[in-house]
Formats: sequence, structure tokens, C-alpha cells
Amino acid sequence: MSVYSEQIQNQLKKLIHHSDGLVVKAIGKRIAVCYMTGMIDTAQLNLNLLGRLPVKEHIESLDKLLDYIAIGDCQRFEQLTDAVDKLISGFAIVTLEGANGGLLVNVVNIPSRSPGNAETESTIYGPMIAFTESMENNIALLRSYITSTDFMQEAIQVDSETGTLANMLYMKEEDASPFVEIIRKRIRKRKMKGLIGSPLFLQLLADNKYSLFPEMSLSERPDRTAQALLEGKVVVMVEGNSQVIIGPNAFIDFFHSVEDRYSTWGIGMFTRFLRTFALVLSIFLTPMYVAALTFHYEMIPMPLLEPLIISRSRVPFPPLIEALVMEISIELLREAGARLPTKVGQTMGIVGGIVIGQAAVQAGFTSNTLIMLVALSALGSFTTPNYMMGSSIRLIRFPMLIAAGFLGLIGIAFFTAFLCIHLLRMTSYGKPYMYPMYPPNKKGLIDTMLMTVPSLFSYKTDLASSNIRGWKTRLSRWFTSDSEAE
Amino acid sequence: MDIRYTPRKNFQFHAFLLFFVICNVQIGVGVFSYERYIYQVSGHDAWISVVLAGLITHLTVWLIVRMLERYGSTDLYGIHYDVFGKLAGTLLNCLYMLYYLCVTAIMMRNYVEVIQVWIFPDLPAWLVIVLLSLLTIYAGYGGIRVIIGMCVLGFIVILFTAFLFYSPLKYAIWTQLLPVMETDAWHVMNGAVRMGFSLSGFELILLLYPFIRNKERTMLHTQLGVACSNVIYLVTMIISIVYFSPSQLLRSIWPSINMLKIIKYPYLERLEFIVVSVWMLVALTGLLLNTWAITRGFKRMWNWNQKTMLVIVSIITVALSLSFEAHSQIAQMNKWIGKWNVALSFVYPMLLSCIVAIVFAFRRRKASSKGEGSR
Repeated sequence: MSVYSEQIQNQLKKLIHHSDGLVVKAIGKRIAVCYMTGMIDTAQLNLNLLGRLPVKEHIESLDKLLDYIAIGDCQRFEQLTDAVDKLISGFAIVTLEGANGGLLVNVVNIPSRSPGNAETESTIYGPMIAFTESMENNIALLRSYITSTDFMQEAIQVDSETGTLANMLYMKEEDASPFVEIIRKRIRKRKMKGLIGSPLFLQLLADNKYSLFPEMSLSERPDRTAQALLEGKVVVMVEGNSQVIIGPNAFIDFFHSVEDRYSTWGIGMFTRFLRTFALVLSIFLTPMYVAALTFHYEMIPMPLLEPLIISRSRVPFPPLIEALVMEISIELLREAGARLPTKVGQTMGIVGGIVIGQAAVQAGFTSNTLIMLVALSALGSFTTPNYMMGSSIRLIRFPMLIAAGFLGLIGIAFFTAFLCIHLLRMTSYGKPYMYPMYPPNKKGLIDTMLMTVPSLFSYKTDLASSNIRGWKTRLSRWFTSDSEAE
Repeated sequence: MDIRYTPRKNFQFHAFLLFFVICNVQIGVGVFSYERYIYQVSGHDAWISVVLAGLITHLTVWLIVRMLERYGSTDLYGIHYDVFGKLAGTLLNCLYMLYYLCVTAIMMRNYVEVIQVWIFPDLPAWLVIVLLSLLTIYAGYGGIRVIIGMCVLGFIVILFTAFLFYSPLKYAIWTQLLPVMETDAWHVMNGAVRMGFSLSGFELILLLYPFIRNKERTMLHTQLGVACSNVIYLVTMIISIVYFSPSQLLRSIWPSINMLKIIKYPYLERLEFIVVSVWMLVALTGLLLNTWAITRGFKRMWNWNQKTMLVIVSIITVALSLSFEAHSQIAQMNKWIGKWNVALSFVYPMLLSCIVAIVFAFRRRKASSKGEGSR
């Protein structure tokens, strides 16, 4: 080791608080190469950097030194203190005795997996590939779908200790600028300790932190993301996350799958209707059962009432408790299935479903009818293409059940009214959440509900590209000076 | 207070939404029970009273919108200040706010009574009233656009319920409508006046006008809304005349709900349970719009915070609507409010529009004579 390289090593060690993992390699007497182990591509380093630097020749300046390096991404820096951040994220530092500053060479190689199949948003047709944890790969995937100069990429730095990097992607011509502005503002105003997952980031960007429903959607599918970009939405990508944030989203967007466009219009329309039907079913089916059997026997005609009463005759609980027991056991099954490894989870589901279901009826805990209704409503909630929205829907079933158990149909009406008001009050990046139902838009309604043939070819039918003005948002106090309202 | 007032762009809404607002606020809870009141005076010619009252409503709306167009962008509170000066204007505004307060309270109480009679006889009134006012506060905090969103929802409820009235038609005896014009004109007129209680509410356009973005379409959509609710009133009136026998109709307090009892599906019957409870959405829009009108008055005249005032107004309405107990009391209150409805929704706006026309003509002459004088 040369004297010079030791000098550099000491300086750097001090800057990284004597943490281990720093490697300093002296090349000749006047050149030192420093990097952190494990974060670099060793083959690249050896071949294109270490193997090419001159050992014997006398080099006057860094510019001359640059000629020897066979790596494109090289930056100059003035002070070692400026370069430390890059060093610990995998860059190599090359310094020259007598020269001011040094070079940062990009030999970063952070472990990542290769793109696999989409798991949380599986479809039957269309591309299967999913995003990975590497942001660069993800952007490359997106660029393979949209090869246009209008596809904009903007890096945003989050003010946090982890220094997480995020990227904002949008189409220039689709006029996504108001949303881009909002996102910039929100990120700038927020300071946080650590930001690891993109779901956390999603909450940071949300208009209303206390809303029951998600305002932006998470997606791991490049084709879905590309479609959203073409609709004029903004995509936020966080380094180290395989899921990107798509916004602004309307309520109805959560019930659309990319597959709707891939299938023929009839099938696409049918599945959309089916999902809407499933939504209504999963929210109202069990509460209606509870309300009808607790308070409103009159509503059920005699031929139907008879089997209902017979199946309930052995159940000692009131309908509310009966329904709650069943709903909670279904939730338990789902949660257990989600936490366990795939193979065990499947067995768990089958065993739990059959055993608990059958045994519960025989033990007189629930009626057969209710098991069917609960299973139907659970199925209904799983048809939602977006997992977050599906969870929200399952969650709101419980207060609805309790309201139905206490006040019957009035309770259901009350909670429905509450939900409607809540949905009407919600905004996503300042856009009304219930669009195109409210504010009603004829074209939007036709396009989102009916899937007409033109809507298969035109993406510009959505919330973001519509000419409705942004709504006043009830932002939390951090964002009070946002001028997005106008 | 500025007479002319233009709200921020993000509070404005499109004129076609007025259609939903007018429909909801006119139909409200009154549609359940109005048939008997009209039938009492006009007999089986009650539908003529409904048509007559509807035509008068169209005329009133026409006058109101013409008056608003003269001003450009103002509401009733502003017009009062402009025409009658500060003191008299404040008094008149307070009168209107008090009127809306009473309307809100009676609306709430009427709906709760329907629930108590048809679904839960033992349900304490205060519970439903408190729940309703909680919803009112929550939606009111969202602002005028959320309120109008609820109106759109309410209209969907009204639309689907309207289709349910097909079933009673199967039992219709159409000859009960004959002979036409058996009742004398005076009684038909009297029936039309009684319709005032059900049809009122459209005068909220006086307060909503500044918030409309494309004001030139106001007339069209308001008239369409009035026409829609007139059709619904007319149809339910005719159906109840042909469905009930005369003495039956005179004895049923809520004929519209009675008619729904006949509907029967293999999996569901007694649909009035569902309709009465879902009607909460329609009743809520009325409460929302009326409380909004009151808080708007506080905001306009004294610049008080609308949200704080909403909570206070809601508490007062709860107290007020809890003060009626028996059905006889509520019926009496309905009759009393009905008179005020006719006065403040029909007669006074007509009168005001005439006064405004005269004032404007006077001012124009004055301005032109001044112009000549200076020349």
C-alpha cells in the first residue's frame, strides 16, 4: 500500500465512522481505488477499472485518468465528503495524488431477482411479466411498452434517513402536470425517518389519511402501469419495491382489470358487470340476512321462510352473532392462507373450509344458509382485481353487519348513506373519487361501464384526462398551502 | 355583504345537476302521504289539482330564474339587501332561515314517524334523529358538491322506486277517475294550494344560483326538474285514485307506502320495508339542502363559519323535532308549515320578482335620466 492510498483510506474511514467493508486498492503510487465490498460488480471492476489503470506511467490530471477507464458513467467530485453517499450506494471512487477531488465510477451491482410472473394480479391473457425490486429494470420494462420521447422520468428524493430514491413517470402530452406538481409538493413537505415500502409511500401521497378506501392503486404489472400512463395518470416508483403507485384513481378504476381490454368487448363488459354485482353482493348479502332474520321476518315469503327457519332452528345465537362468527372464521382462513407458504396455505384453506364449515353446522353454531351466504360474499370480495380495495370491502362488511344487527334495514340504510357520503367526499390527487358517477359524465359513464368498441382503442377516456376541475381537497395540515384547488 | 357574489370555481357545479336537486327536494318525504290531503278536498279530481299546482310551480320557477338572471350572480339574501336595505333585508333573511329551520325539523320528524309506524314501533325517535343529523353534519362538512352528489344518489333511489308503482296498477279500476271535473273549481283550487306543502323546496334555486357554473342553462334544468317531480306526483296520485276505493284512500295516512305492500316476488315481499329505509337517502338530501341554506345565510350576512354553524343548527333541529310527540301534533305542524310553504315558496318569490322588475325599471330610468343630465 502506498502512502497516498493509506491517507485516503484514513480519510474515508473517518467519514463512514470506521465501519467495515471498505476496500482501498493502490494502483502505483499515486492512484487509489476505493469501494464497498458486496455492492459492486467485481468482474466489471477488475476488467474495466482496475485492470486498465496505469501502474507505471505518470498521469498529470483526472481528465487523463478518465481516458483509461472503460466505464461510461463516471462523475467528478470535489470533496471526499460529497462522494461518501455514492460510495456507500455502490460507486467506486478513484483518486489521484495531487489532483483536486476524484472520480466516481458506476460499478453498482445490487442483488436483484429476474422478472417473474405477476402473482397478486394474475390474469389469463396478456403479458405475464411483473416488476422486480430494481427500479432500473422496472423502468426498462415500461420503456419497452412505451417507446416515446413523451414518456417522462423524473427523480424525486425523499427527505428521510434511508435516502430512498423514487421516480415519477408520466406522459408529457397527456397533461399530467397538476398531479406531478401535487406529488412534488407533498414529498418536499414531508420528512420521515425511514421509507422502505411503496405502500407507505402511498399513504404519504394520499389526500385523506383517514379514508376507508385506497386512493391510489398499487400494481406489479408493467402492462397495467403502461395503460395507466397512457390514460394520463402518474406513476410513482420507489427503489427496492416491486409495486408501483398509480394515481389518481377513481373508485371504479379499482374494479377494472387489464384483462377487460384484452378480451372481446362482450366478455369484458360482462366481467365488469359481474364484479359490480359481486361488490353489491359482498357488502349487502349477510347484513340483509341478519336484518331480515332479526327484525323483518315479514319480508321473506312463506315458502322461503320455512327452510330458513328449519336450518336455523338448532342455532342458539341471534343472527348477528351467528354471522359474525362465520365472517370472522372466513377472515381467519384468509389471513392464515396469506401468511403460510403457498403449498401449506392451500391445504389449510381446503381443510379449514370444509372442516370448519361442516362442523359448524353440525355443532349447531350456524345455519347452512348462512354458510352459503358468507361464502358467496367472501367470493364476491375476492373478485375485486385490486387487493387493497378487496380488503377495504371486507372491512366495511363488519360495521354494516353490526348496524344491521342493531337497527335492521334502518341500520343498513344509515351505514350505506355514511359510505356514500364518505365516497363522495373522497378525492384522489384532488380529483373526485366517484367520477364518472359523480360528477356525472355521460361519456365517462359509457366508457367505464359499458366498454364500447371505441373505448377499446382510445385510452383518453379517464378521470385524469377529463376536463373537470380539481376539487378542493381536505389535506392534512402539512399540505395546507397546496394551491392545487384552483 | 356584497350583493353580487361569485364563489370559487371549485365550489361551482354544472347546471344539469340542478335537475337532481330540484327532484329530490320537491319529492322528499311528502310523497308518501300527500294523496289523502288532496283527496280530502278535491275528491277523485285530485289529479287536476296536482296538474294545476305543477303549472303554478313552473310559472314560479320561471319568475324566480328571470329575477336571478337580472342580477347575474346573487342569491336571495343578496337580493333582500339590495331591494329592502340592510335592516329589512336582515329581517327577511332571518325569516327565511327560520322557515328553513322549521322545514328541516318537520321533515326529519315526518321521516322518523314513517319509520316508527312502518318498521320499528318501539324505536326511540331521538336515536334516528341523532343518526340523521350526524349524517347531515358529515355530508355538510364536505360542502355543496357532496350535498349535490347525495341528490344524484337520491334521484336514483326515486327512479327505482317509481318503477315499483307498476305493480299496484294491475289492480287498477280506471273508472274511479270518472266523471272528470265533478268537483267544483273552488275545491280543485283548494287542493292545488294543499299541494304547496309537497311541491315546495324548489325555491332553493334562489340560494344555489351563484354556485352554478353555466348559468344560462339554469332555466332549462330547473324546469326539467320541476317537470320530473310533477310527473311523479301526478302518476302516484292517479295510481292511488284508481287503486284505492275512495273511503280507503281517505283512511290511509301513507297511501304511497300502502300501495307498495301489494308487491310480491317469490323471494321478497313487503317491499315498503326496503323503500322506507332506503328513502333515508332521499330524506337526507332535503335535510342537507335546508341546513346548507341556513348556514349559507349566516355566512352571507355575518360571515360566520359555516361548519360551526352547521353543528349548532343541527343541534337546534334535533331539539325542535324532538319536541313533537304525537301524530296529531305532527299533522298540525305539517298543516301550519304547509301554509308557510305556500307563502314563502310560491307567493312571496312571485311578489319579489315583480318588485325586483319594478326596481330595475326604476333604476334604469334614473340612470338614463342622469346620463342625459350630465350630457
